[in-house]
Amino acid sequence: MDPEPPEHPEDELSALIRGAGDGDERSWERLVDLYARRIFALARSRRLSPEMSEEISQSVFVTLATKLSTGEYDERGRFEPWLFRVAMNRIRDEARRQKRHATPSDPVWFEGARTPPPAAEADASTDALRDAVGQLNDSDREIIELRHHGQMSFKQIAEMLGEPVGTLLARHHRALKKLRSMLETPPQDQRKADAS
Amino acid sequence: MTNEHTTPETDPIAQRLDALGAIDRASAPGSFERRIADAAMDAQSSAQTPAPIQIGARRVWLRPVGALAAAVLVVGAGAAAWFTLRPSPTPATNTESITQLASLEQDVDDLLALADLLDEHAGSWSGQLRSDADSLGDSIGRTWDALGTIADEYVEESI
Repeated sequence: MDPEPPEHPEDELSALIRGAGDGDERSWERLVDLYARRIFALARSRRLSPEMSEEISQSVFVTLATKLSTGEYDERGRFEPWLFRVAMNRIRDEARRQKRHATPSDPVWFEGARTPPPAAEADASTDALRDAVGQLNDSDREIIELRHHGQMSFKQIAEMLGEPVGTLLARHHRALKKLRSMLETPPQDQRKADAS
Repeated sequence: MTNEHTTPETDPIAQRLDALGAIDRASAPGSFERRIADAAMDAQSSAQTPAPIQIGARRVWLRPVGALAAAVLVVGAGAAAWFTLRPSPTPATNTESITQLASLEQDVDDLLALADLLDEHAGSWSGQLRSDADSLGDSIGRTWDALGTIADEYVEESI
């Protein structure tokens, strides 16, 4: 399990963003190290391909670079919520687009159904967990993904979604219980439970 | 990731989700970070606004020259259009040609008569001119003589 990402004091983050805005290569590398894989994982959790996940990660950083260059970036103290909001919008748009154009051979077409996992993820329980997350409603799924794939704190998620931290904690807890219930109940029984 | 917000009931699921997130983060391809950083820096370079083009003061003289050239062009185009579009004279008929020829002959006759008249009067005009010049010369001569006389008298008195 990854260690929790270290907290970045606002001063350090501001210095990095300022350095990146001035074109400093080390600042860019540090920002990419801190956030790129977290964005990539968010895209992967929506069953987007590694190529598309990288493309989305890249587009988020290109957006940041453009906004820093043109002076449009003005999110002092709210960098992470802003960055992940941009990322989630891109990921949702792409996932919707792929669903509209999906064919039966695309993995996204089977979302929510049990599919043979890729070789690297040949773990039935991991695949079951992925399927269960895919069956959550959008708002619950977003909190689970931002917390466990994006490694965001509840405070950051609250800032990003504009909701109180207490509300998010309650929703996160409820989503975990739903997942546990889905994973403990066989699919046919789950359908009966949903119908009742 | 610490799960201090979970309960014993939900903690196993939270831990499995953390593990899933770690798998997905680790699945990024090789040189992933390098490509992202390069793309960001490339975008930053291309997003820099180019400096506005400054028109130097030494080019100011070109403005009236340009205006003059434009005016000449407009006038020339207008003249060309006028010559092109004006109604062309209709071809004359035979009767009209004969009438016009007779009129031309009459005009030539009139011009010749006028020339004769001028020749006749030219001699008298030149004689008159010569006579007037002589009269004027005489008058000037007399005046000059009178002045000479006065000057001589003045000189004699002075001596």
